[in-house]
Amino acid sequence: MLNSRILTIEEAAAGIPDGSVVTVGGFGVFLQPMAMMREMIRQGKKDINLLSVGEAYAADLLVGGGCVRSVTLASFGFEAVTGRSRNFCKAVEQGKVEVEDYSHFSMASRFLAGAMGLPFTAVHSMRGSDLLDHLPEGKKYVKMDCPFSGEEVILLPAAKPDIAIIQAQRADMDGNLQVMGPTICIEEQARAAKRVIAIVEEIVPRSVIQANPTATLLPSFFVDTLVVLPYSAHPMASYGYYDYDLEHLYTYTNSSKTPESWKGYLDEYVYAPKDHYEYLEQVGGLRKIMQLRADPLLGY
Amino acid sequence: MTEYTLNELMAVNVARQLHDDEMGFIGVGTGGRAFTVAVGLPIVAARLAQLTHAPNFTIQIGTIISPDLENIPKVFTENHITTWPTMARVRADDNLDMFVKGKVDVGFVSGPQIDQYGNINITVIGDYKKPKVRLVGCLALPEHLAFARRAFVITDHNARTFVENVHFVTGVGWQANGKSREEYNLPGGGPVYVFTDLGVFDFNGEGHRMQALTLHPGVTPDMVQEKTGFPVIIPPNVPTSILPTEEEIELIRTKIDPENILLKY
Amino acid sequence: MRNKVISATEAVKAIKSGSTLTIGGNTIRRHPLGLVREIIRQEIKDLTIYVWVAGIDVDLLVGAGCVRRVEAAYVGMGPLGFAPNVRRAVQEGRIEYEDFSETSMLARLRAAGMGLPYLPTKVLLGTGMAQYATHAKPVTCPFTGEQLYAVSAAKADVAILHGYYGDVHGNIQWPMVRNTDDIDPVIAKSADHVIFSVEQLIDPKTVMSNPTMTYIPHNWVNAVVEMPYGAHPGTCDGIYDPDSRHLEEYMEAAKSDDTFKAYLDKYVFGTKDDFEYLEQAAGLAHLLSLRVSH
Repeated sequence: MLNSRILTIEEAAAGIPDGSVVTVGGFGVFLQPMAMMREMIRQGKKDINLLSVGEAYAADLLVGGGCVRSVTLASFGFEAVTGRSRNFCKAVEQGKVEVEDYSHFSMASRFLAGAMGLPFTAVHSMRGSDLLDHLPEGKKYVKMDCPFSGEEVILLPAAKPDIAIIQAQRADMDGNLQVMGPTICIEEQARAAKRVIAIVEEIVPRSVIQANPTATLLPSFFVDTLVVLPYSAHPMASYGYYDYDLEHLYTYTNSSKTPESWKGYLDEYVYAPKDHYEYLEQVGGLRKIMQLRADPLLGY
Repeated sequence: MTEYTLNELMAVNVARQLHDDEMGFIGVGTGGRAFTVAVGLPIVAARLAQLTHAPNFTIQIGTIISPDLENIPKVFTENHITTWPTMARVRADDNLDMFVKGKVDVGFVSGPQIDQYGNINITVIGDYKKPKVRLVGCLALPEHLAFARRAFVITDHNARTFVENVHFVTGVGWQANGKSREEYNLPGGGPVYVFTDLGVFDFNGEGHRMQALTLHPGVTPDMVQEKTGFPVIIPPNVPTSILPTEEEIELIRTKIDPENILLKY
Repeated sequence: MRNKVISATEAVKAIKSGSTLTIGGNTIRRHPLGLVREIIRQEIKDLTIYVWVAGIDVDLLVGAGCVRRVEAAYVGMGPLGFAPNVRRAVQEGRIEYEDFSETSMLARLRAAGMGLPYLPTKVLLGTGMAQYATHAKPVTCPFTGEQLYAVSAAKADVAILHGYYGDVHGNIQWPMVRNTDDIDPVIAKSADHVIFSVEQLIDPKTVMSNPTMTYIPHNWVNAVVEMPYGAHPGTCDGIYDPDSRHLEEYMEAAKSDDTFKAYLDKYVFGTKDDFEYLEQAAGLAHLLSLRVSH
């Protein structure tokens, strides 16, 4: 990868066509590409089809921003913080987005198959559960007896998103991408996608990458576009750099209770700020950003 | 004949006077031309010496001891200096103790005023109590002249710099305030060479006064005298300075300073 | 081990007009400039400053009229050249100035840290420093008969320094990159009362798990203030680079008393604390752009 593929977040978002099949990295409170979600909403993206494992915050925001047509997922929830992800749940309840459910492992396996360039994967998961009742047999799954052991397995098609949006800690100018802390399915999601947009906290010299090569989750040839933007996972955490912003997460979930308050949230934190730095000012500025800095040893 | 720049000529003349196994001390310097004479030129000379006749010559820059001269930073901001691959980074106070103990062989110095005895002033221009121009202070210049085994002065030649008597003795040369260096009983060797854009000088003239050792090609005794604020001793038939070899120029341009950062100004 | 974290406003109250002050850092690197700005806000005057290789810290204080006397080995702006306010104040005779070299000023600060009245040095022999200094007297070694100069202890009432990481007890730690182009431990040891601003407060457990990174132990420290970007517009190397944009503005403003007064009115007197200063002087986006690689 060359330097010329380093884009601003606005440029990178502009390269995501309406109707794309998109997968977004991250899990729990870690490494969800929130700044990119905000930029996609600002740019009025439509009909995005999300292929997800459990990137609840990113998906909930994008759904709440009206960008999403369908969601394929394993689970979305705000876990310890605030329970259900309301924008997503309400959109499903109101029939505004199509939804397709899988188990975690099934989705992970589908991405793994995509990453390996295989057309399908075989899993034991979901046998006997209602999940299969809601998927068209033959199109979304096939039951088959294993040709080696004879046991029944479920065949699922590989997940092959058009675009993977990956939040990471750092990269060098070539795009060698280092991800620290829980990496979950990021590697498989990225390798399965036709195109990878990575958002990093900072560009580091090649020597920094070389000194710690095991942190390179995605070598440069997997990374097509690189965006450099500090605190771009906010209000999520970036292990080793900053913690999640609990105060803002409560603001977020309280705002998602009614359509009016949610509109207020979008106006204040997505539409009003002209860029990411204005957003950071809006959520508390330098004082807040400094509070969120990670402990150098603990990483959070 | 090998083509060379004035800076390259100066660097080669400095390099040829560095000995194997010596340790040179370079300050962190300022910007522009002052950076070139105080930092850039000594680094080039040191590396050139390493690559030619003095493979075990090494340097310290500030508190960085024996940095990797194959990987000279492109920018000399703090963060680049602190991450420069090096053998040791020690506390500044420990480092200065070693200086006082005589562990520095060659001290590279520069300054706005130098007199005929090699006293150097970097502190004030004019009367100390009512200075015309207040400069930065003393830094470690007194240590260079008091404790280094040999101090090398690198500076440009003009009559404002080379004055009969410095306005303030920041560092002691061969005679200061009417007393000789011997009388002060300073442990170091004092200033032994002055490298300028006109030639190379030492203090082996009568009464330890500055005299020309070699003049650069095209430089005449008159030109030197005109740019010196005191009668400078220029022996008859003073030889021409050492000219760079093709190999030396090749090393400077391809290996040592390929992006012309150290000798830019 | 008590909790020593207080606000900058509280911490600086320990510095009295007419007292002696020593300051950590060097040139434009890792000076406690957030604390310096607070000293200026509190209009503390007539300070005598003992420093080693100082820079923008002393230039700010002199430019704000807080200083009566400076004793130093260097006051300059590193790659940017002279310290404009200090230069003007000395040339116009508005402050007293006493010159020492690096090792002789170090000796004076060390003597203070060792509880000694003076240390001997050879470096002043024959120099203008010996000629003019009031804190240097010729002495003869009682053992060898050698001529030396005794330089008196530079014992300050208060030391202010800026550290990378610190815990609530005042243990100050290096980041991963360790470099030491300053004499902060000597400075910290020399004074009666030590105030540290730090980039970031860290957990005492983090300190304990990595004790060799502690370069100033808590028992030397009286007060800790968390001040991110507290060395701005200088560098806190390993964390952020110097803010050359603001330094340019500083150098331009420091060219005359009037323009520097306007600078102080805007950035120091016009801001109630250092967060406000940082927003004014740089802004979040610019500050984040100054960070250096991990």
